[in-house]
Amino acid sequence: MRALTSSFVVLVFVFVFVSACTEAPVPTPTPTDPSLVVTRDGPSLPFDHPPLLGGGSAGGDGGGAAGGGSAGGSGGGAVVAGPASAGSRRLSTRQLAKSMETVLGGSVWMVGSTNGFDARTRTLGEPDYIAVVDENLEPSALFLKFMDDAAKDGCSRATTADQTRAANQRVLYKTVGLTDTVASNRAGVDQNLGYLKLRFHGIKVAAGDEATLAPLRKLFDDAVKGAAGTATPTAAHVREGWRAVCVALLMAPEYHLY
Amino acid sequence: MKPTLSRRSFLEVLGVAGGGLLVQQSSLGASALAQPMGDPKYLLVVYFAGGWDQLLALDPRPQNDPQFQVIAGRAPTTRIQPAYDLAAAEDPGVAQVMTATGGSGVQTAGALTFGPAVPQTLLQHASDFALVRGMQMDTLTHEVGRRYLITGKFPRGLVASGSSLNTQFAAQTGVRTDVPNLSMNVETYNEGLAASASAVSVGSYRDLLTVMQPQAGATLPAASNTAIGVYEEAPDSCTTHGFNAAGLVDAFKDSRTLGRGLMNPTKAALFDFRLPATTPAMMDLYSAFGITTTADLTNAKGRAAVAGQALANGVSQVVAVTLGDNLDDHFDWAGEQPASLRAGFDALGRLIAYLKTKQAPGTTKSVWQCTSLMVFSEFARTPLINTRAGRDHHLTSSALLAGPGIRGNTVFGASTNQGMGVTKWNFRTGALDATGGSLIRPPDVHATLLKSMGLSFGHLSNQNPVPLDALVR
Repeated sequence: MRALTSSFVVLVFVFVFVSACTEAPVPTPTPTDPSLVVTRDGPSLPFDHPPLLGGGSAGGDGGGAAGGGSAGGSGGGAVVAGPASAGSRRLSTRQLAKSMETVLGGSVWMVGSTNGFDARTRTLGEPDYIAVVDENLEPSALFLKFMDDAAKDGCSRATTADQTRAANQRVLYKTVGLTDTVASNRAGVDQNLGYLKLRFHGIKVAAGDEATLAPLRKLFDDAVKGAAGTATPTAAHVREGWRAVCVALLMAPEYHLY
Repeated sequence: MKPTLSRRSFLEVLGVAGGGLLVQQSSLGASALAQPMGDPKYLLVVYFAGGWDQLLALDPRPQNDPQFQVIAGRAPTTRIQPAYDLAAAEDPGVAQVMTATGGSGVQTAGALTFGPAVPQTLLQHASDFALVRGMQMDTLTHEVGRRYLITGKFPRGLVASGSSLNTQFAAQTGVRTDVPNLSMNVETYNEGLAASASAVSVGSYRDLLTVMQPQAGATLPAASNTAIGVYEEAPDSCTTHGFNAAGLVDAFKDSRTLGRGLMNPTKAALFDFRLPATTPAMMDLYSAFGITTTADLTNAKGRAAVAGQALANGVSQVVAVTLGDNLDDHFDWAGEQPASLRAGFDALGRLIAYLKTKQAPGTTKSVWQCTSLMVFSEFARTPLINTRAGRDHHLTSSALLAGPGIRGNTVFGASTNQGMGVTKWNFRTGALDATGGSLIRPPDVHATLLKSMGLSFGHLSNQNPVPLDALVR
């Protein structure tokens, strides 16, 4: 009787284990189809990212529920309310320092002759491991004031650096020339805006995604026109447009939160 | 132009209204609306760093009373040694008070008494003050005592528990001035409150200038800033919604707006301290705070001047500032402590006098008449002088309160006349009640001040706070 009970327990355990590990089939990416696809629910996951629990079927034998519904039957499908990912967090100061240098193609925020992230380390909430041992990741007003400084300084340096680079080496002017505007090359500007959205936020913009492109295009256009006034925009005026786009992307929640 | 009310704004309004209703109806709020409604509220939190000597300051004993004197090399029978004679030998200010008080060293102002390290600049405001004496600190560790009084909650080990009083004030009142919550050399904490309530923490006027001005060379043309503003007003994308599960995106955006609001070059000029003063207004400010040297710009006088400018010019409605420095005198107490205390109290007195000359917007009252004040240190110093001519850490401390909802010219509690211990009091009547009363603790002081301002002290509930009702108007 005791052996029978043990066998039953083991069987139930194996059954539960197998059921809980059942996953939806992972779609096979094709080489021509980029892994990131934007839908109305946001970007899809990179092709090598395992599927998130909770978004799909995780039920057991008894007609398991999808996405956090009640688990059914003896299988006891996993009950997951929403994605199994961790909650949103703000990038740490060191993550930001590295990230900003990368997205700006090597340009960094400088305060005088010092890297701004080093000059403002305590103010930005980094621990000193004497009095403070945990980094303050709160998006406080003081933090964002200095991020505003960082974005404006870093983007000024990045757009200036691009002026002297060969066309295929530029960081922010990937698909446009130095004097291209919405009026003269709308398709190129749109493509560049989509590229910058992907570069800064990791969000691929589908062609014709006006919901994403239109506000960015307007931002670029307004900044160029604001700089040029009634004159024909020059490279300096266009640079102002890309600088404004760069600052806006760096000051967006999508850049700082993950 | 079409008036708009976003969903968020609507919820904020609803939240504020609902919060107000809750305060009115809660046991903490029903009788708590002590401060007149309609007047602007200001809060000033003043910290004396290192542990202050109460005999020299807020809880004196007469030096000329034999029970407090060292006789034939024996410690006083009360185990309380004011030692004003030792201090007077090294400190001219104390010597002057000793002469003026006929050798007792105890200065009287209305119903209050003060030790010989309290200068006339502070005594002149005594009628506005309530002294809380005999407060039990429960710790002799600097960090613990400091954080206990900063948040009103006993720390978890050395780690602060809860939010700073100034942050609570900013969160509950929802102030939206240029720098809603300013903290100068005082630790500040935000546990679970809106990011917009967090203090902007600075060390001196220089830091504040850095905060209130855009970085040199890192500015955009107005048209670009406007275009960025328009872009940021666009509806959230689905991605942004995804990040906002815990309100992090909302907090981020709110702080982004506040962060940009911090940059106000016109108001930054208020803190562009330099010698000699370049404008008549700055000359008046220096005169009010006794600033004459470059060192004064960053010491207690300079910090008090920053606090005064911030409160009087609508930059901040809550300021926490350290005005007393280097008070941890285990050695050479007589040579150090009186001077350090006097510098801090002098700066505080000048700050109050300055606020009395400035009118609160929308009222006929001065800023000071709308300001609540808490002055504290992490603990006190031993009533006996140690073998190194210093005083060590002592559990029984005091606090100084003031405000439109606080009864001025009042003393609540007392330290005992035997070793300056604590005893129990009836919080409602203020009478000594050694059997049925309660010991005075920092949460009670926080609750008192918050109640006097008509604010909730529900966040202190796990400390079982009891307001000192005898002090609340």
